[in-house]
Amino acid sequence: MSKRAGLIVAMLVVASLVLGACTTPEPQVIEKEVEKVVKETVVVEKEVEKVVEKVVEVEKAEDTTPKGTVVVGVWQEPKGLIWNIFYDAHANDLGASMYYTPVTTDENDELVAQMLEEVPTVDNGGVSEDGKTITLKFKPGFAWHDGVPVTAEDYKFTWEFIMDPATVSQTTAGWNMIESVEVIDELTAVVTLSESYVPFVASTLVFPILPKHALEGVADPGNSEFARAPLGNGPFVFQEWIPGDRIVVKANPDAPIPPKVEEIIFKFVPDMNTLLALLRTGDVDVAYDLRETQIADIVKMQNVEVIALPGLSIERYYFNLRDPQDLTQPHPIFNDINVRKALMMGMDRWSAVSGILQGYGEVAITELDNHPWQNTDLEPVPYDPEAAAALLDEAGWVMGEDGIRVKDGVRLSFRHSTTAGNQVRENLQLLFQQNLKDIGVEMIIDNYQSATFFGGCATDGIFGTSNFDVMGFTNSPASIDLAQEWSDFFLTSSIKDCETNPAGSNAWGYSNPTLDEQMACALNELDPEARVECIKAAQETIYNDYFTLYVYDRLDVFAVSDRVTGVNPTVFGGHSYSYAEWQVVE
Amino acid sequence: MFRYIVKRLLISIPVLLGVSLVAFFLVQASGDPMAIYVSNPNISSEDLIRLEKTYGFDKPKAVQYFYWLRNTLKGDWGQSFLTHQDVFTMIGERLGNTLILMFTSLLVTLTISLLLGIYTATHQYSFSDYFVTGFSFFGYAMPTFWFGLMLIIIFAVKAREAGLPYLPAAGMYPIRGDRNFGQLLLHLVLPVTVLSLSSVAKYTRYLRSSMLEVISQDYVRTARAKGLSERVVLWRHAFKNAIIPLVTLVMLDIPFLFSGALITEQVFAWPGMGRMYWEHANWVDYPVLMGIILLVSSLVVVCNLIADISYALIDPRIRVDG
Amino acid sequence: MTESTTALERLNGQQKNPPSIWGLALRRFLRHRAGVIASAVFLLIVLIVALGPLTFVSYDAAFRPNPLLVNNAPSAEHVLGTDEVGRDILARLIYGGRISLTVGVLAMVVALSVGTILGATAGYFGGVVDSIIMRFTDIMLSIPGIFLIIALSVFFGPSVSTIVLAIGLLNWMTVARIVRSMFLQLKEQEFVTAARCVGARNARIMWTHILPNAIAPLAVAATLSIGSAILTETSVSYLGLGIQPPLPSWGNMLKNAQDVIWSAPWVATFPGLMIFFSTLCINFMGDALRDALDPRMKL
Repeated sequence: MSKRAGLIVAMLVVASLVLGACTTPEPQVIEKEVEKVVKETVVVEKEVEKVVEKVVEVEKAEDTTPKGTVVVGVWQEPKGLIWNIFYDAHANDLGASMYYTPVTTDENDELVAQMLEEVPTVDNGGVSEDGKTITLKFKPGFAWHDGVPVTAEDYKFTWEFIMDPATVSQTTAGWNMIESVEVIDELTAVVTLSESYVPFVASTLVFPILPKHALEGVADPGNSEFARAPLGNGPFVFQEWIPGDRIVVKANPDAPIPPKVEEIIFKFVPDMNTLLALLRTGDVDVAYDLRETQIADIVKMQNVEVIALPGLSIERYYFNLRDPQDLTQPHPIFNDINVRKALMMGMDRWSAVSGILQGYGEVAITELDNHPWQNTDLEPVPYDPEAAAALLDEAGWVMGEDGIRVKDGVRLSFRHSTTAGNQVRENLQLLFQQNLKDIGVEMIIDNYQSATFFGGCATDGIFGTSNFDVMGFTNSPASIDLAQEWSDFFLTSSIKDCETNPAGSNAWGYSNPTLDEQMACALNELDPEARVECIKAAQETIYNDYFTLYVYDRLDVFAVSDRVTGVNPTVFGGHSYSYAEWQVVE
Repeated sequence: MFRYIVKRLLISIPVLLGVSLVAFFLVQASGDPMAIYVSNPNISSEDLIRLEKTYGFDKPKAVQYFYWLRNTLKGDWGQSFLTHQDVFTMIGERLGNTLILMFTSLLVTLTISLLLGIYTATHQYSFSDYFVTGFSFFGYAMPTFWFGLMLIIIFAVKAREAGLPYLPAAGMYPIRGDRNFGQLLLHLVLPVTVLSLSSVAKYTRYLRSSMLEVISQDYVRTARAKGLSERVVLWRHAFKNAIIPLVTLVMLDIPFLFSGALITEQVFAWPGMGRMYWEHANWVDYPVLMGIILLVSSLVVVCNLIADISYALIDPRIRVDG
Repeated sequence: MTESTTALERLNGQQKNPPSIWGLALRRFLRHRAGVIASAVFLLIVLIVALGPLTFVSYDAAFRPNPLLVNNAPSAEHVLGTDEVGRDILARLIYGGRISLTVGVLAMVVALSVGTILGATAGYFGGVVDSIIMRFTDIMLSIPGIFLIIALSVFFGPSVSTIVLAIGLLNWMTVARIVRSMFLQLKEQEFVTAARCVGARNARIMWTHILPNAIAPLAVAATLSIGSAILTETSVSYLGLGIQPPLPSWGNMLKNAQDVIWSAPWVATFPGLMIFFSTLCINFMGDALRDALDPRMKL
């Protein structure tokens, strides 16, 4: 069309709009701007002239210029900003501001498409019947912050980059199932897996893809400029990283889903109390990953709102089923399922939650509490000291003179280990120690530094050498979907042994062939309904074997200042899925 | 003297070697560098094996030490296991911030100590002596993290809420706003208060004793007898002589200015080396830790040498030989 | 003749009981009023802490968790309130005081012993021996204390004895320096030459002749190091490496209270005050001691 013709058409469009508004204030005509102009139209209903003016204005002017600065208080600085190399929750949360992802979660914790046209499923043909082929159709309009458009080549590059040993990715889970990626055109890629892997979509497509033109051929990417100043494609653009102090990102003016805030500053504050002080003075607007014990303090602040969601992280105690002195032998005390059951019934988790946690938490039941696939038929192991004492009596543990039960010359005494320096864990240990003493069981608190606790075989780590009686820490089933690494804690094939299987995660020597089958089904079953059945059955099997005590569900604690709206934290998305929606209201 | 210096410098080489050896094995003994990956539930078993090989953690400790030593002697201080950055760069990024904090504190400490030391020496056994001495102990006797937090609560939070002029709670520069020299000074006030007050006791005590000793000397009595005013006596004669031994004390403290005040930096979110040290120590990131230890130990050697020499110059009874 | 003799006798009569060195020292000590008050207060603390658990403080009050009483404000029943697991704070302060003060004293003994032996050897023999020992001191000074503490905790498990050992090993270097410089000065004195002439062996000279002259600075250093040990224990607890539950210490009580500083400030205030006052008292005592024994000491 020639320029002149275009101009005439434009004028006609404007004219018709004006006329249309003049006659009747018909909302249909200004359909596009409804969300933004709604306030004005309702208020100005009677004054038609004003509506006319507004319509024209909104077409051109950006009422939605990003305004304001939000400060997020982070207590752990990321190690680097390439997500697969520096894989930890805080880095990922921060990085999410600068990257869109193929799929993401929304405010209802549902999986929705962001860079893709739709979430690939078997129903829409995105995933093949046999589960081995996934077709990714990208939406147009996404570009890297240097202007280069995002294409399917970038997706293929991301896979190669992650799998390249020279990259030193921390995690390749899920991506290592890819056999090949074929780029059909600019916006379409076909992924072929080596075998069917049902969690593929939910576990890999929620992560960012990386720019081929910026990272290809870069030696030692972890030590590159990109790792300190990344090139993203998301709602915010990287500005600067002052080590030890802050990372600053600014709104991306060309973002397809434009942000409402002009600048986000991620400020690093390692001391929790200082962080709370900054929240109180208003220097920090948003804080996350706070401890349950701080909720009482934050509730007192007038300008800050506390949001505590029951999350997926569950504090649990694992019973070692093998004798730590000789791993070929069963545990002298815990090999009897009734003893384990009695011990579990002897610990008052309800008082722990209401008293020590001040009500901020929930007594846990299964591996998947608060997850859509939780087996809700199961009830928490009750607190019943009398029944527990009875079970122990039946099992032959007789009360000794010093108040501790004895059987065949063995005292019912065991070590309980967790990470040293963790306030809440220690407090719980103290409470349970007292509970158990009341029924004749001696629990010795034996904590270690994290680096020793999780240490491997080479350094005589507690976890690595299975050198514990009961081991407690927090774990979660990764995210929306279950993944391989989660089942590693339960499978017979993952039983840890420094000689034969040093990397296995099943340090407690648990083995149940039925569970192995159910886990295999949970990860590979293609029929979604059958899959969920397996997952629920697996939870029940674990429950009936009484080898893990699920203590309490941890809350995800967020603090948001009253001057910021739109954060709406969720279980799967945390606070970082909604960066584009954050708004400063003052 | 010259031979003495050369000898000491030559000996410092095996000393530094000794430091690196002891430090390396102590660091390794404190935990497993793989633990950070093991504790991350999203990293699978295969990934763990691969990471262990890549970083060389599966090799015996002695071998790992040998590689580290060889590279360091070549000038390559290695890369952090956690951030993959060059250790040199990392130290460089934070060193300046720590030095600003520590030297300012030293300056404030010395100033306060000088005033307090002289005052208490000349007013021995009076009530104000006890009061001032008690004040000097105040900062020392308070646990650092508690002291810091109290200051933040009082001067940054409560003062602000009460509408009074207030100080910034944390950091080196304001979160929102200009990063200029004036702001830096404001942000220095609270952390420097904590740091300097905790060392004031030590220096004050030293100066007080020095002054007491000097005041009772003959030449001071002579000066007084000559009719000079007390002030002249104090400043021109006593003070100058009392200060000289202070130099050795400061010399011995300087190396530790470089490692920074770990707890203070944590509490005030100061982006310094002490904090970096602690963050990397938790996960046994030994290239970074060894780099910092090497830096500090070299300084210890040099500063000790200077201190010993000046000590000998002051008191010729002490022969420095061997 | 008789008059001067009488005067002499009179003079002698007056000096029938000449004041001893220790008597003079005691008098000078008592002249330092703050030191005297501080010593009395400290003694009181020690008495309460030592005798409390045997008399009016019950074990249960200090150790039994009670989820219904978490973080209660001071009341008639719990004079100083309750802590984050529902235990009585006053009771815990007393039990904790035992541990904190014991750690302080024992750590001082460790530092003093190691430091004295090494410092004396270095100062007395000089030469190569001095060099080696001083360089070893340099090595130990360069390595941050954190590692020593973590490494020891890992080897021996984080117990009271480990903390004592760790803090002691952090502080012996300063003692060694002091002792060394004393020995360097004193070995040139005439009485040492005299002892040698008589044929005394080195060890005897060191321990029976020289060391007693170094008692003064050692005593002061010892006193002050108790205070320093208490503070170190507090810092170590802040980093999570201190005395492990369920044992209380003032340091770990203060640290455990950090989470509720805003909502339950009394839980932190009382341990903090105890640490503060004991250290203050110890420092005044050390000052008074120094003034009493040798005011020119540069400690």
